[in-house]
Amino acid sequence: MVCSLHHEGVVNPAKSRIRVVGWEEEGVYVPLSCQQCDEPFCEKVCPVKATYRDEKTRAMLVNHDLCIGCRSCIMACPFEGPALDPEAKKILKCDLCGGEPRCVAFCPTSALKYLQPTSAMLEKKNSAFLRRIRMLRVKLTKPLLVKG
Amino acid sequence: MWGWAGKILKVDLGHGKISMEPLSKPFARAFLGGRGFNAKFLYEAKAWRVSSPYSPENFVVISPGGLVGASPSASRTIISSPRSPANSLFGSESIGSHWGSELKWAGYDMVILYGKASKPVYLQIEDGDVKIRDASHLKGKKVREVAEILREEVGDSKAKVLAVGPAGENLVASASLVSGFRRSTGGCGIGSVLGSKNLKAIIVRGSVGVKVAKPDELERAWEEAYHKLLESPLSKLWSAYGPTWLVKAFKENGSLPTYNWQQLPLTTPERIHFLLEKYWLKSVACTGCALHCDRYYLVWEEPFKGLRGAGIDYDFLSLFTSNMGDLKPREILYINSLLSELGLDAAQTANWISVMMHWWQDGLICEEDTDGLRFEWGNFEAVAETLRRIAYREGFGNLLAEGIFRFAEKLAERKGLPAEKLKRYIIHSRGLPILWEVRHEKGAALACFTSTFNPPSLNTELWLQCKTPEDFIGLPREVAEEFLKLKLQLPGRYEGKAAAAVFLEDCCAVYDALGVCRNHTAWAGQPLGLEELAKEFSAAMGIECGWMELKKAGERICNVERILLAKYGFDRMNDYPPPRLLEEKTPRGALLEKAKYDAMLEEYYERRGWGKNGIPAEGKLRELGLNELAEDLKGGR
Repeated sequence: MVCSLHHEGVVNPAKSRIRVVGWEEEGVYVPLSCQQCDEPFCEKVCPVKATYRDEKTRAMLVNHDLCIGCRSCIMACPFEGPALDPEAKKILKCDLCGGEPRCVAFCPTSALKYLQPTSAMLEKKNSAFLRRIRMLRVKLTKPLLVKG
Repeated sequence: MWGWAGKILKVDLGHGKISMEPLSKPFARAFLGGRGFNAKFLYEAKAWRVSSPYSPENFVVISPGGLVGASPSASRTIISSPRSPANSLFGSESIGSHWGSELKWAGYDMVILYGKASKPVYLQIEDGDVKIRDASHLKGKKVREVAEILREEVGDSKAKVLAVGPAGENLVASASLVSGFRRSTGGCGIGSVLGSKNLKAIIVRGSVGVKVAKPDELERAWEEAYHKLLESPLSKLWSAYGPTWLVKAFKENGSLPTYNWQQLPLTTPERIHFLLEKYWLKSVACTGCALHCDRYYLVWEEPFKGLRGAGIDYDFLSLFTSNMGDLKPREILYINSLLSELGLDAAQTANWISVMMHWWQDGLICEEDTDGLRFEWGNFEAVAETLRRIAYREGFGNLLAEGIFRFAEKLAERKGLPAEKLKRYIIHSRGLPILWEVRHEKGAALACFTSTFNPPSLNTELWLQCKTPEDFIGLPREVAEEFLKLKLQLPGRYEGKAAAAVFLEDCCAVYDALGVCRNHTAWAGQPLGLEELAKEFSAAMGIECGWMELKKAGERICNVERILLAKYGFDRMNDYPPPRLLEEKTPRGALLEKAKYDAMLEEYYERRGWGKNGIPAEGKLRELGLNELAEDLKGGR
C-alpha cells in the first residue's frame, strides 16, 4: 500500500513496485521485488538504454523519457522485478526510495529489511542455522512430525 | 472523489441486471462509509417493511469502511440486511481479511444485492467488469473448496472470495459469510439471506485503487499511527499470542463467560497459550495490519492429523472454549475449521450449543430430543455432530437451525413446560450473543444492551490503573479528564458509566464506519483514537475534519440505527439485560441491580438527548442534521 502511495499518490497495490505472491491455503507469502542485480538482464535487453544504475543507491532505475514501453525488461527478469502500470502503461520498478525504502519502514515483523549485501548474507546464514536448530529440536520432542 | 471510490454497485439477481450509481458526496461525508452507509441506506429503503428474511424483497448491503484501502489500520467491511434470520431485526455484521480492500480497489463503496436468482450463481467483480455467472457446480460445496474452484475458474490466484457454505444454502439462522478460509462475519445469519437468493459467492479483483487528496500528508499520518501502534504494550501481546492473551486476561478478571454464564471454574484458558505454541505455523494479517493477530495452524497429532486452518478470534475462543466447558485444544481447532468450512458463525452457534448443554445439566432435555447425543459439558463429539446436523439440517439440527428461541418454544410445547422457563437460559442482547461477562462491569452491561450494533461491547476496566489523563490511551485529553473526574475506572460503580458508554459507542460507530479494526483503537486500550483517525481522514478525503466532527458523525450513525430500531418496534423495554443477569449472582458476587441499571439507563438517554422511551428526540436529530428523520418521527413510528 505504502509503495503506491509514496510513488504514485494513490493507494493501489496494482501499482506497487513490490508484490506479494501468496498461497492463502498454505499460509505462504513471498514478496517479489527488484534484486538490483550486479549484471541486470533488464539493462541488457533494453533496446533504447533507458535502464541505468543510480550512483548513490546502486538501484537500477528507468528513464521514463526514453522508455518505449516494449516490456522486454519484464520478460527478461527472472525475479518478477519490473511490472507494468496498468493505467499509465509505464514500467514500475523498485528504486529503493532513494535509500530509505518505505516498505521496510512499514513492515511490522521485519520480514523486509534494507541491508548491505554482506550483512544480508550473514543474516540469511544465521537464520538458516537457527531453522536447522529448531528442526532438530522438533525432531526430538515431536516425533509425529517426521515421516518415516 | 478522494478517499472514497465514488461508485455504488447495484445487482438485481432476479433479472440479472447490473447497474452503477455515483456516490453522493454529502452522503459520504455525513455517514463516512461502512456501518454509516448501511444504516442510512436501510432507513431510506424503508427496511422495516420487508416481511421475512428469505423473501426476494429482502436485500443485502455490503460496504467497506471509508478508510478501507486507504489506511493500513482499516480492513473491515460491514454487511447488513433489513431482516436478519437470527433475530428478525435489521442485522449488521463485519468482516476483516483482504476482501473489503480488494472491493474498494475495484472501485466500489457499496454493493447492493436485490432479488432472487432462479439458479445458483456467483458474482464476479473485476474493476468495472461485473458478471453474474452460473454456480450450479458449486452447490453444496464447502467454503474452502468454493474459493479454490473459483480462483481457478477466473484464472487469478490473488482474487478474493467471499462465500456462503452449506449452512447458508440450507438457510441456517446462524450462517455466515467466509472470506477465503479465515475470517467470517457475525451472528445475524446474513449468509442464509444470500443462500436464499441463490448467491453462492462474490469474487473480487481490483486494480483501480483509491485516489487520495494529500498523499504526503497521508503517508505521514500513517507513519505516526503505525509507530504509536507498534510501541503499545498491548500490540505486542496481540502479535505474540493473537486473541488467546485476551482469553487468559479475561479469565483472570472474571470477564470470561463459562458454562453458559454460570461462571464455574475451568482449566482450558490456561492451556490456550500452549495450544497456539504447539500447533501454530505462521501469523497472518488482514490488509495493511501491523498487529497480525491471526494464526495459521496445522495439527500434527492423531486424531486430527493434517488439520489446517486459521481465523481464530476472541468470539470463537470465548464461547467455544469456556462457555461450553473444557474442550481439548486440538478439538477447539477442529471445531474452528469445521465452522469455517460449513459457513457457520462461531458466536451465535456456540451460544445455542451451550444453552443446550445447560438444559442438559438441569435435566430439561434428554437423549430423545437430541437424537441420542449427550450434551454433557465439554462433550466434543456432541458439539461436532451438532454443527454438522445444523448445517445440513438433519434430525434435531433441522429445528435448531432456525434458532435457539424457536427450538426452545417447540421443546417446551413437546414437554409441556412453559417456554419462558427454557428461554431463561439464553443470554443474549436482542437475539445476538454477547461475548463477555457483564455483571461485574456495569458500563459494559449498559453498552451491551443499548448498543445498536453487533457485537455490542464496552470495557471500562481497561482504565482501572489510570491515574492521570495521559494514562487514558487513545482518548482526546478533554474526554480523558472528564472520565477521570467521573471515576469510571471502578467496575462496580453505576454512576458515570453512561458517559463512557455514549462516548465509546459513538467512537465505535466511527471505527466501524471507517472500517478500522477495533483492536487498533482506544476501545481496546490501543493508541489509535479519534484524533489519529481524523488526521488520516482529512489527508485521504481532503476534507478538513477534527475529532469532534468525526465523533458527531458517529453519533449520527447511532441515532439513525436507533430510529431504525424504533421503526421495528423496539424501545426502552428492549434495553434491559436478560432476567438471569439481573437475578443470578456470579460466584464472585456480582449482579446487575434492576433499580440501579434503570437509573443508569435514564442517565444514558439523557446524555444521548433521547426521550424516556429511548427514542431520539426531534431536537437531537435536527442538531445532527437528520431533518428528514425528525420530520418522519413527527408522524409517529
